[in-house]
Amino acid sequence: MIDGDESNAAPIEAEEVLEAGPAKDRVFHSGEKLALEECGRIMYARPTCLVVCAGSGDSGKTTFIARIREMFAEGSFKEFHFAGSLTLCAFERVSWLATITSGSGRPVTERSHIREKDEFFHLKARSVCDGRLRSDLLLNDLPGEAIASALQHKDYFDELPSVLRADHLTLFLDSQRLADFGERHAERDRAKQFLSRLQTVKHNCDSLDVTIVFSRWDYITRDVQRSAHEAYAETIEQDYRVRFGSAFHSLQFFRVAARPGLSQDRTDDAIQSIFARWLADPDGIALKALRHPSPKRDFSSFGLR
Amino acid sequence: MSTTSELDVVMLGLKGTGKTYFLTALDVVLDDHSDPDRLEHIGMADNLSYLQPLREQWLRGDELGRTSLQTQQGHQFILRHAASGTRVNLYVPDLAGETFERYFDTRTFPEEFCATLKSSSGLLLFLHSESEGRPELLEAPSLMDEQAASNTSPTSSTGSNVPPWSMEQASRQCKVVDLLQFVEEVGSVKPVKVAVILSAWDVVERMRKELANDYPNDPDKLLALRWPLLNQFLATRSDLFTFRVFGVSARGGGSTREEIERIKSISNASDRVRIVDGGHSSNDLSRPIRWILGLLNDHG
Repeated sequence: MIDGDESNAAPIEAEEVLEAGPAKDRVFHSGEKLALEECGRIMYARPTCLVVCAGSGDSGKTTFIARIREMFAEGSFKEFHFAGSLTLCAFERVSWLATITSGSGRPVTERSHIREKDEFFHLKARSVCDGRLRSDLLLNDLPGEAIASALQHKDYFDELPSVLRADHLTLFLDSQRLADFGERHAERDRAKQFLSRLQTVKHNCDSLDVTIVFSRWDYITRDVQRSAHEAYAETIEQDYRVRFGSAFHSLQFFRVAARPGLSQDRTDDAIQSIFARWLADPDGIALKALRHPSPKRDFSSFGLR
Repeated sequence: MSTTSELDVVMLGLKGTGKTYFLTALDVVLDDHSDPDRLEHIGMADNLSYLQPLREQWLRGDELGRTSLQTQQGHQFILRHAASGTRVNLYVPDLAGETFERYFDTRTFPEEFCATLKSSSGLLLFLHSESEGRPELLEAPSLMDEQAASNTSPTSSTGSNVPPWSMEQASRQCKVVDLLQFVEEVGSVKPVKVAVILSAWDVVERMRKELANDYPNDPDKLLALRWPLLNQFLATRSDLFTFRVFGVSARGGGSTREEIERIKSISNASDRVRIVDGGHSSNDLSRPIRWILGLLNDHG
């Protein structure tokens, strides 16, 4: 048996076995995003990595997540192979408007709604390199409205259990806004404020891995003032490294164009690198060790226990 | 004295994937007693009401009708594997592809089907060789609407004319993987043996003359190319599934008048059939069953 296999672990079903009507059908997972209770059951059963994708509205968080599943579905993921998901229907749903079948004419993504702030995509993957099955991955696509509320009211973080429990924060800075001289400072400041606020509300920030994504990077690479925008992004990177470099367990920066415009290069390799970063700990040992000293990192963060 | 085992094998596949063709052609091929390593008929089931009419249609070269949604069909095979002296009473239920689509939509299995899965020796998972599991994404500029593409927002509200996503819009790959995840949740014995049947393999052999890269002449490679999510799921979850891929032409050709005439002109009807796995090629449709039952000699 390959190390990391979980033959004896609890099955990955998230739904309880229910009896539906007189036919006594066996009911399985819905395929849609998981609620906190369902995540809690998975986290209780197996090592789990919880990732929060946060950023302004329309910054490409959902598209980024959709692209991960699309790469698995088209067989272009290099470092990891797909090993299961309880939320395949949710993944299909967010990719729908990017398919030929939908008739949308343009690859877009349905934006997430504030009611989805406590819902999670689920993925399992096996490393191609070492053949080991990685921790279950729970992905929270935090709507832009939630970030805005959290910046205005510190107490709102109490309503964001995913952020308080997160092992990884992937924060999106929208390159379309960064390429707009009227918007770029606000976009930069919003992310800085969020990270600053996070330090004051989240326990164990020193165990949080933070990834800054300059998303929709094609808006910069195709702009006539490309070099100026690239320099501005570089400035942000340097500024954040100074401000937050020692505040978190790690801090890395990526430039991503998950669905670039016509004739623009997609940055699938960068997306795969971020995914690999999420699942860098093959056994979830660090995660388990981190959970025990601090109940804030466990289910209490969800208000479940 | 050898004993007889009572075994079930479950056929799982979406609509139009060739389950009934396989079952019918298998029945014909099992009449061949020339090789002791094959499974062969040693008796006739009491009830042939389902398979006998299909068998006659198949022998005439007719297209088989769609499997009924109303009742569970299936067939009992009374078989022997002469090389090992094994006798098997094998029951293979034949559920319509629409039934599996409904299971996916409703996220349920009837308890009766769960019981069959629990007692079965393995699965025959059917995919059509020409079907595409990969998502058909809007990537090529020629497929995009220029006016829509000029819109800069990456997101869309539901106010457009595009129909919202629904279960029936799910890709085949998503449906099949989810159905296997259901099977995994039901099954009591792990790993579940899954014989992946790529049906209409004659199409691959015909198309590869012009499109060799799109139609690799190796079932394993075709599965990896067209159904990467499924292939990876099966390969990475060896704790849950063991699998083997077979290319199968159970009808022997297409349904044009010329093809039907060609099929009928083959003097030995079972020679219409072709099965390919690894370096093996023959008309022995019992190979996937034998693999599931642990009776497949890989050197044979």
